[in-house]
Amino acid sequence: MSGLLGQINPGLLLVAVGFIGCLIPIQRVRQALMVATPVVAILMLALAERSTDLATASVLGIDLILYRVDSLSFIFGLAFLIASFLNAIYALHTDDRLQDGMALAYAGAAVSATFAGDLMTLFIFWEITAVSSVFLILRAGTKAAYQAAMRYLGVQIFSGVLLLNGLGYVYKSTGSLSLDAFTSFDQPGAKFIFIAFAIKAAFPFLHNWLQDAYPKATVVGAVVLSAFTTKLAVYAFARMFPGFEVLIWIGAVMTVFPVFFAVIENDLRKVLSYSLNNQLGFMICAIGIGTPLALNGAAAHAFAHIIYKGLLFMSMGAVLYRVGTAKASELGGLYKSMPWTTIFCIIGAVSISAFPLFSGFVAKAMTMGAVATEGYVIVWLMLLFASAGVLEHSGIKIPYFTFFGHDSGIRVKEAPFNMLLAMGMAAFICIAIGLPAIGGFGYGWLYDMLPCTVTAPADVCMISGDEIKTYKPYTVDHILTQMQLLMLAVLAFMLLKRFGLYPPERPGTILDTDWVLRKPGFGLFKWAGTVWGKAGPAMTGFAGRIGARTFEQIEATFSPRGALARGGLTNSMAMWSAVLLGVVMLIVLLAS
Amino acid sequence: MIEFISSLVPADIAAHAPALLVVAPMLLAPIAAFMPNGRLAWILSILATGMSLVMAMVLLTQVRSVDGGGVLSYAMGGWAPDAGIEFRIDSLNAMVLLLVSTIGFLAAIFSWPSVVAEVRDAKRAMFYAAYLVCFTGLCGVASTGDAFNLFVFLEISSIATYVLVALGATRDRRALPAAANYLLMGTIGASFFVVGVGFLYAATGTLNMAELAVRLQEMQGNKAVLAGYAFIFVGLGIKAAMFPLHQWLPNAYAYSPSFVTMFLAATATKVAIYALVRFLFTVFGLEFAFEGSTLIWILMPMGIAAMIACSFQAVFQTDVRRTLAYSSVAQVGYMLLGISIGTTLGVSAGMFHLVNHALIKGTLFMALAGIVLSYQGTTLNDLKGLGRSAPWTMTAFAIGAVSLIGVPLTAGFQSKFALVNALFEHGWWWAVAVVMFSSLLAVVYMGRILEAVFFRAPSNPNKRRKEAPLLILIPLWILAIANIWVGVQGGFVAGLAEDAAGSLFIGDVS
Amino acid sequence: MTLPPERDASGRFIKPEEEAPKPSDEHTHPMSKLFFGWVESPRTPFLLLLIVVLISVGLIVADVFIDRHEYKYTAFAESTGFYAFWGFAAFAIAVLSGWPLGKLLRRDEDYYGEADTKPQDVESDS
Repeated sequence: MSGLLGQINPGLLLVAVGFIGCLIPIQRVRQALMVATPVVAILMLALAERSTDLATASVLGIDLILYRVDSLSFIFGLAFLIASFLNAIYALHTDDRLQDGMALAYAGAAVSATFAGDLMTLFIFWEITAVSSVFLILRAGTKAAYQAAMRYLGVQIFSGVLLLNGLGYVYKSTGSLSLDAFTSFDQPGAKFIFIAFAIKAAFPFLHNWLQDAYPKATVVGAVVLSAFTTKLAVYAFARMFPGFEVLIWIGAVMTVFPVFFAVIENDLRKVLSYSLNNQLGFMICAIGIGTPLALNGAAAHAFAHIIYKGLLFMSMGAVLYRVGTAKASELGGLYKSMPWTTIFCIIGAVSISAFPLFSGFVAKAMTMGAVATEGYVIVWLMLLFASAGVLEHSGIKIPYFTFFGHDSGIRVKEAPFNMLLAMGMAAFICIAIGLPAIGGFGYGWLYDMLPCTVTAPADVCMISGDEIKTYKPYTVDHILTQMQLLMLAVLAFMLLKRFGLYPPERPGTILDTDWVLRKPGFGLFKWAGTVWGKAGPAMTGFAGRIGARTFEQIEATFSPRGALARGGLTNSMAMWSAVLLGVVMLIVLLAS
Repeated sequence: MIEFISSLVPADIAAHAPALLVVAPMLLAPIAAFMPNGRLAWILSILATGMSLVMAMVLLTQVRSVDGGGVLSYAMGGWAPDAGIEFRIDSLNAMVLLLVSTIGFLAAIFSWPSVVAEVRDAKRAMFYAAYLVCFTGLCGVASTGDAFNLFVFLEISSIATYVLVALGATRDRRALPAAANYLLMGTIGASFFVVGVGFLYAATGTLNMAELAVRLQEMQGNKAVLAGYAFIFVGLGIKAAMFPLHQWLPNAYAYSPSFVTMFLAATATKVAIYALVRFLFTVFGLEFAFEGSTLIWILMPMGIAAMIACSFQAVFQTDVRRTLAYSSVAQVGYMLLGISIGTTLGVSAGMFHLVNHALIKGTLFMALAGIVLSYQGTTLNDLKGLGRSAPWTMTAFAIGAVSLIGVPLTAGFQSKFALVNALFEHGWWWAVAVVMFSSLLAVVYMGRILEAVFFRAPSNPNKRRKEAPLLILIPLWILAIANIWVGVQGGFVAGLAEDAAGSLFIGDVS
Repeated sequence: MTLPPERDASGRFIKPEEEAPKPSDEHTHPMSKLFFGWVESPRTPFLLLLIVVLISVGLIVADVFIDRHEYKYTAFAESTGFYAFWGFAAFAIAVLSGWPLGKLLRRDEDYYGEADTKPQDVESDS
């Protein structure tokens, strides 16, 4: 029995149960399934053998590897499964079949894609994540959400098309669909696949689908969305593009620019979306470094991030659910009515800010260390800047303006129990993997799962295991420097606030790159449609006039019933036939 | 299954299969015309097309029984070829015949509810007669081995088609100018073709295509042969809706009765492409230096232009039938692109796409016919919210749509994949990008429709849950499932296409 | 719940201290007094600032005595209080840039014609 369970991709189970879940009308039965399935899936994953092709299939003459676990995919897959479990609990208060089912199917597709052993399988689940996740936005039921969902779907599908295209090149040139890392951009298909991943990872200028769609999703939907798509892309980068130097710089830019947007953004769920971008930057940067330490850093950061970002989205979701808005300018003083949510939000905030004792601290440290070791000084300074920036928007802005700050006078009920439970569990994980190693708990638990370790040198790391030192986050140096960075930043906040230099939270729409698409782009599209509508007939008419005389002659010569063709719509077309005939004749004569 | 059905046919009937396939509908057509009511004519047309389908299966079995694909030669009326008319069936003919008769049969079954709704009672018997004549013509084109006879059958099918298109006037008056337009263009095409055949006859003194092929080998560089080639190329180009000679097609498809649209979209241009391929690779051949040039300088650019320009036009249409019509021209572009590669792989990819596109457009137009029946109107606006009102019909439509886009596990993916493969093989990497781009446009124009169907609220709140009648749903789902089946188990159709392409290159000097 | 208070053109609250009677505490969650009761004390802001200043100073002073080791390429970071300086400056720059950026990029809420819509699954009574 255990042998069989260990050979089924747990993601497939999630996808299947998710789709079935859409059809179960009884809320409690469906939700019991939604909560239980990730647990079963985690057990299945625990039973799986590492680094062997556990399930294969052959479709259309292509051998697919449906299930393959190694140390890199394991940690991502596990994080996805834990997130889907927490999400299911978080969603218990609603009765929405489609949302429940699609959330699970989406998680399942992400897990399946993580454990895919070849590009084709990856592609298939890549597209399923796109299609299933769009419902989480659609279910918000507003016009804005609908339009954002369509934009989101378009972008995601486009990423899939690029991936398919790149896959074709790879298959053509190497005859295999393996997920082996590329070594240079000159390899066929590498660029296509890179851009496909880049879209999903929300690289600068390709990032805006994220800030566009996530804040418009449902309360539950935003929590679910925050976990999977982008981290799947991070995993894919770690798998196929480790050590590409360009990623270092892209990652660094990615950490810095969202900081500025987050400062002025009013919608706190959108702030979190920018923050998501910033965090991805750290991971992408680490993957670009590509040393075992850096890859470990990326994996650890992704794991920790999935949990604490989920926690922050949950807390903002709870506020939105009770108050009806997540705009900083309208919130404040909510600690009075939602103290538990406040506590959990603060735990998420200090985790993401990387305070010692919390998960962000032990995860981010590796990336910073790897960047410094490899001598990218400017990148290192940028990341340091971004660390202070994270503290600003996620560490202080989110909890301060929601729960403290000016008392908005809003008094609501505390979040529903299931939300608190999910947040509590997430908060527990944030602390449990952040503590120094104290009996059973502590960061050791996370570090043992990392892809590149001394004990289990993995096939994903380019350098063999004995070069990896066991990294220790809790050193006096590290704690001291990190606390300096954070405490002085907090001090800066207090002083700026005190002297009235902190920009007030104001309602408004912040322009980002999506402006190009949504204002001039849309206008261009509309204009092109009009032009096309008018130009088509005009062009034929024009050509018809020019050719009319020539045509009559040719027609009289060649067409036995030429007289019939005169007048009417066919003019231009009859002329085209004559023209084409002439061209063919010419070519034939020249070529023979 | 095909072998089993073929084995049931008595041997002495099977021996005359090539003739029977064409003669059966031809003889039943006048009988249908004089039937007292439409229903009987309908049943006759099912019988006739069903008979042809069985004969097509017999032919396929016979052709395939020979290793590497046999060639059946059937002398009409016992007159030996050259003097008499020869029907010549090889793997390519067999494939096209099977396609035409399968679609013809399914179309005949589904036609009744649609015809009742769109054609006046008094004209129904005549309508079915015209349909059978059209069917006869298409089968004839696909089986004859005589160049002039091919012209005759081409005209038979075309003239019947003009009538069928014009009958759409009951529903939309614009069908009349569309039919007239089609008539003019079709006539020009046919005239070009017959002029070309005349040149060839003047040069070689034969009309038999196999004989032509032999005699033409000795006269490369003969000016009459060159002129003949040019006329035939353009004439068949018009019939096949080769860009920019496609302008008759969108209106003809958009305004004819739904059933006619479905049948034409799946067969008429396909048969013309067959004829084009037959002349390009059997009668002439790549050993004619000018042929290679026309492939590169005419067929390939026109194919690509169609893939891009017509896909764009499809994006901007508001009537779904016109979207699909423009998409058809774009898809013809794919086939032409495959053919223009001029390798076995390329032609086989083109043929593969030909069959798959027939399945795809058959599905899409049949679903639309079902919608027209229950909800009238085929504009994007009319289709809003129908995903909820008619889930079965629209799901089949969606299958056709994803297949058209080329989503993996559908027929469309298989043939596009084959095409891309052939392009790679030939080193036309840039063309792969064009295929991808065109597919992206397909995502846009089909996406628009699917979005309206499944995500929008109905524009008319009175649209109650009403499916297409069972008579439509059954053939519709047969086609839809065929799309998936070919997508998952592409072997059968791919094999047919490969054999067909192989038969063209037998004895190729190159 | 009650409506959020008025604001002036620059988004500041209009005289919040003159706001009508303080919201009654009957809806206040029982745990909030326990967790965050200290927040309401008028001395808290000053005390907090004091604590943070003391910690900051403490950290910088500690830095003088602790011999830190940085990586080869980032040896410059060993100078005393480098992280403190960097954290303070980075934070200040990020926040202060909010002023010009806000002017540059902020548009009306209804800029894309889709202002203020609540997702379907928020509580119906709010």
